[in-house]
Amino acid sequence: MSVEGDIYSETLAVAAKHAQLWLNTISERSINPSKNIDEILHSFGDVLPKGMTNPADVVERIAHLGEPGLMSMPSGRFFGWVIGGTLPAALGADWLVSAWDQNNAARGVTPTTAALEEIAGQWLKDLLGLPTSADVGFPTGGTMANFTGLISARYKVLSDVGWDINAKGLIGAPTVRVLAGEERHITVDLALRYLGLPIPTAIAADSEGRIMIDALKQTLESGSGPTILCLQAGNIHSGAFDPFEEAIELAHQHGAWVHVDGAFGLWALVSPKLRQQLKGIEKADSWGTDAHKTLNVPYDCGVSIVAHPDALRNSFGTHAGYLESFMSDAGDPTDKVPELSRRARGVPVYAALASLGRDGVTALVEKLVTNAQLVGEELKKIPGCFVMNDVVFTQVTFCFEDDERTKAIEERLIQDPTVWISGSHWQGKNVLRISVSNWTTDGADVAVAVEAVRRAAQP
Amino acid sequence: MTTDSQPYRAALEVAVREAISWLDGMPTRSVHPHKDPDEIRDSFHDSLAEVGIPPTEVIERLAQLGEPGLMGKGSGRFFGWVIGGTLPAALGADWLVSAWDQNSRANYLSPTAVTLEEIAGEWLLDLLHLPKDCAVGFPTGGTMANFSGLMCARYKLLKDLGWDVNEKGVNGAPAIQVLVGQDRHVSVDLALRYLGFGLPTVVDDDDEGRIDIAALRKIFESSDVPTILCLQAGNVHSGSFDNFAEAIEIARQHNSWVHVDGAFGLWALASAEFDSITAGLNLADSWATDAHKTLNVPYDCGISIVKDSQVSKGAFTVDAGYLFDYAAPHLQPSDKVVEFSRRARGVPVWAALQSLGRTGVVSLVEGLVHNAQWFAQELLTIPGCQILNDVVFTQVCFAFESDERTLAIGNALMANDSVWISGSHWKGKQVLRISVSNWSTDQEDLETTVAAVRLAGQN
Repeated sequence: MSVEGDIYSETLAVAAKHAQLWLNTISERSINPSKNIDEILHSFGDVLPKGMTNPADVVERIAHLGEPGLMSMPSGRFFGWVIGGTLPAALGADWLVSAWDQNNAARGVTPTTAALEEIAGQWLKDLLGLPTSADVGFPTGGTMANFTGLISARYKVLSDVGWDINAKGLIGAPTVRVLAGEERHITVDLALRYLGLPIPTAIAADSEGRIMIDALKQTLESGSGPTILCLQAGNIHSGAFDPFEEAIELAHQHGAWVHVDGAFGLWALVSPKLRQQLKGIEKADSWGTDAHKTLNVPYDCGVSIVAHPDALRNSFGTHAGYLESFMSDAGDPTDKVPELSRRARGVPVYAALASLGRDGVTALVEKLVTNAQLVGEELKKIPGCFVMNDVVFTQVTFCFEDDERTKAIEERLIQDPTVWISGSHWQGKNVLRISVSNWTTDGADVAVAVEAVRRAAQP
Repeated sequence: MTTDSQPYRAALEVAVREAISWLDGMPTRSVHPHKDPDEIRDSFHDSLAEVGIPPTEVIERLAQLGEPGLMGKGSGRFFGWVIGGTLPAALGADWLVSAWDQNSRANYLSPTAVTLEEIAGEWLLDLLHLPKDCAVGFPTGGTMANFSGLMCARYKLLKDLGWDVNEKGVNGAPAIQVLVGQDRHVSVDLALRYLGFGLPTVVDDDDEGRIDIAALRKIFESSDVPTILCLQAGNVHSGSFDNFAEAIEIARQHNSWVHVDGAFGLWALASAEFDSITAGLNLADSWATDAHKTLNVPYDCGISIVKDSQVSKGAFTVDAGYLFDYAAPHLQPSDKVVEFSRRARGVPVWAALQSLGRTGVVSLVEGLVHNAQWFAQELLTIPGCQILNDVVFTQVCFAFESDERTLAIGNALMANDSVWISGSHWKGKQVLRISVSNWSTDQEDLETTVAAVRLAGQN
């Protein structure tokens, strides 16, 4: 083969050098990008070169010209949306995944990556206390993890009324009712849309964004037929958990499939201290979460867990003649996610779990919550600052005397290079939100964040 | 921030060393894995430790225990399915993408990641001679690229009928007919299934797997149901291309949406050498392809191209209050693909194109085809070997006197770990297939491979 001498080692040495530099200086650097998209576009130029460029030079160029336009998402002082950093073992494993370049579709073709994902899946079910018989898949993130649970739901509720969705599709099918809390995350709506399901019927929520059982009961009783209920573990504003025990029991009485969107909140299950807030969640039918958030593996990696492997594998499985001899009854990677060819996305999850161990995963999640609670306490000391939620997990939502002032403070914070804190709207108000999701965030980072808010709030 | 000021250094050094050892060993190593998934699981042991192990050990374990179960997909002698290797620049860029760990959903989140994807998109349209104002998205691969195009089709056809699929779903919607060729790839069926379409209507094909124009015309003339027509650029067995000019003209008379699955074949548009088979391909409404195949970027990366960017926006965009979007003049990544949070999957595409340049892309594609054509000629010199397809692109499909003999030769090849050639079924026959998709395949690889087939044919 015509790979010349050291072409990979030269190129990868440049990538490694810049990656190390980026990561090792992240705790000192400005959080915001210093250039905007037009400036970055200008520095790269948009002319496709006619001839070849040395690969090492290409990587050098990306790093050198690209760095000013990066957001320091892996920083311990990045508190925007819900975005984790990356654990060293997960990043190293991710690099191997790219170098190995396996198409992780069938067990018989890529034994190592299939086996590592199976082990990671078992470990996850064990850590989260979810049924050992469930299937675990590694889609790209929360959206597609919700998609995976909901496609299984669609298959099962229609199959229960004698409708073969795979053969006949949804046009002309019995009507599927989809219910979700009014404070569900947008990715639930997206996943439903992809699947051809409607915008869900909204169930009223309480002041923390949790679904209200009375309202759920009323809605369930007001209709009939194939039904899917979407619950939430971890409200993006309050971090709150739906009342799973009661909601799931009610839904199951009506024959509904219960899917839980636990993009970040599902990880509360690894802590004996936090787990009681999710009581009964193990009785749901499917769960979706992100590994690139709370578990701190690199983008992108989600986790989908489905308690009914038949519904899942019938939704995704296929028997292409040319693959059949490599597939197995144990379930192949491609039976469990919405892709045929794909990256071995679960290997960094294996690495993260192996490097943390059971105790380390628990400590990681508990530390995020402890720091969020510390943020909540400290923010309350700032004049005019109201912490709006009960800080039960990693999210702290706060505001000031009125919308104008909150907005003004948000705008000042966006200019502050020491932290990133997102603005949002919640309960009819402009709000600010701190999400503690990075494994490196410590007391000093929390102090910097609180100080930044204090500075921005000065009259 | 943590007490260790360089927490990544040691882990990444191990990853670099092991990755380079894997890549540099590729020309001489066995292409096949030596262990099956169960053996690999055994070697990793199953239980999750209470206490973690250092990241460096995690990476060392992955490399050492994992390597016997890896497939040499990056080898110039791997001809299975349609799977590319990885260009050094693309792999280096991929490593930076993981280290940067940017959530590349929107341009204000990561100006650099989004810019590089935008430039890569423009370069692709230029190289493939497709309309400049198409929306280009980077999903995980061919399956999800087909899904993206077909989701846009679903949105547009139903919108034209006054039905808002985003709000109401497909349940109860007016009927839509989906037409596919007899020999389409299974990922089209999967994408249709996900979207809530039932099994498509199958149109007859010819000996090379191309859609039969007379049959297509007849179906169109017998029904006036709004229609999605799926065509194919690159049949997985023959490499053949549908007759786009005629098929699209018929579809246009019936106001249909035309989607093209060009998982590997779309790249033929890069070279004038293939003008006769690609004629009319640029007239479709949406196109799907893989970058991890012909372009040789690491898994996973697909490309979805939609002619009407407003349709793409209509189909994918959601409005979430908390997103605090700064005014976005043009389409954001989340307006073009099926994920919300995502990896900057398009950056390795930028790196591949920058490193190859225009002429490099053209010669990469032409080189693969010339190698496939060389194979076809040489295989014919092996007693009993018949080439079943007209080798117009990268695929060579061959068989021997009987199914039994083809199968026996396939098994003998499976026992030869210097090459990987897949068996399959096509046109009612047991076949063997060579897909030339790796950038590094050279003359020596070609000769080794033909010798392997010849040897297998002697037994």
